Amino acid sequence: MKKKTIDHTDLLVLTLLSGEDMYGYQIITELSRRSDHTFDMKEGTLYPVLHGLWKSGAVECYEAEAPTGRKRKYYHLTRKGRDALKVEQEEWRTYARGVEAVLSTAPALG
Amino acid sequence: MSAMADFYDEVLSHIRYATLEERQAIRAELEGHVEDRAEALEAAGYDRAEAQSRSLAALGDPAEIGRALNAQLSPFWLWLGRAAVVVLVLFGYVLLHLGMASLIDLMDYHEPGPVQTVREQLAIRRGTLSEVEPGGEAAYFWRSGQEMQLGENMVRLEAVELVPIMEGTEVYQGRFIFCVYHRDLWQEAAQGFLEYLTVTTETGSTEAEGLGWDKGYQAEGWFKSYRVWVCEALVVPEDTYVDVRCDCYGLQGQMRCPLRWKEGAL
Repeated sequence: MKKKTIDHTDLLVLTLLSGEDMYGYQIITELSRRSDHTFDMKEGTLYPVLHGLWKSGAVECYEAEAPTGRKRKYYHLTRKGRDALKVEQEEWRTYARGVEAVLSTAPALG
Repeated sequence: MSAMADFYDEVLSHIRYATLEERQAIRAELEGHVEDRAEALEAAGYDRAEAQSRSLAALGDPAEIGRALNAQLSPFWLWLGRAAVVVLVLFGYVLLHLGMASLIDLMDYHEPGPVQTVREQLAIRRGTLSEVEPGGEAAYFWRSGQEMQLGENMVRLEAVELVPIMEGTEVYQGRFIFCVYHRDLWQEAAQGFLEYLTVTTETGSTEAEGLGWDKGYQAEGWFKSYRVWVCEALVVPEDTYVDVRCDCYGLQGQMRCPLRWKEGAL
């Protein structure tokens, strides 16, 4: 299957963080795993997305020690982020229903 | 390591609106990401160098990352922060000068009376009393500044004035003006030293006694941090020096002060 570009990166990142706090590399690997490798983004471009979410107040970050002793930066979904996630989810579902509604009128292809 | 450093430098080169701390934080996070992936690849069997190389490649285009990060940053807060630093520096500069001006005002504060400002107090420690001037009948006058230490106090010969005791004679009433001050500007000068001060001429023609606190020239400094005393002794041209001695409170001091007949002639 052709790899899809992510149009709703914010939605996906917020969804991942709604389950648990994560660090950058973990977000990348979880996104790939849960989407069955459908969404494999260029890893470096995750950080501008995270920075934008932090700037908007949707996430906050903190440092914690990794098993190797290194410091890792974790991201945590804020209450504002949860509210934003609900809005994004509703918008996506509306979008998806619209797409599905159009697709369902197409004749079956052989 | 060079390729990694180059990568991070390339990312940061596209970020204009970030403080030094923000740049360091961005770099640290990207380094951590590469390290996390490299550890996973090493666990999968890759060697260290290959793991790091693959991890770096997985990050993507450094220029794209840098531009995207820069787009998230605002020049407003960066310049606001820099403006705040400038304002603080200027504020500190103004405060410093105001503080200096206040200190200078304090140094000029004085109670009524001569030679009592802090500035003059400090001048005493550097030079002679400014208001000591020769009398109208003086034949010789010079400022000395020679001093000796007695404990925490200094005894200084400020000036010498020689007045002929009688016209046509070469005998002079020598007035030796002493100042005693505490080495600490804010401490009171010892009073007893001046009462036990003696001046002996070279020829031993006389041994002067202090005029006493209620006689002759006298003054006290601010917070009595210095005291002025006058000793009188008869001197003749054969005297080339006088010996000043003080024996008080178990402290002893002496100094030989030359008589400047040539320089002091009026």
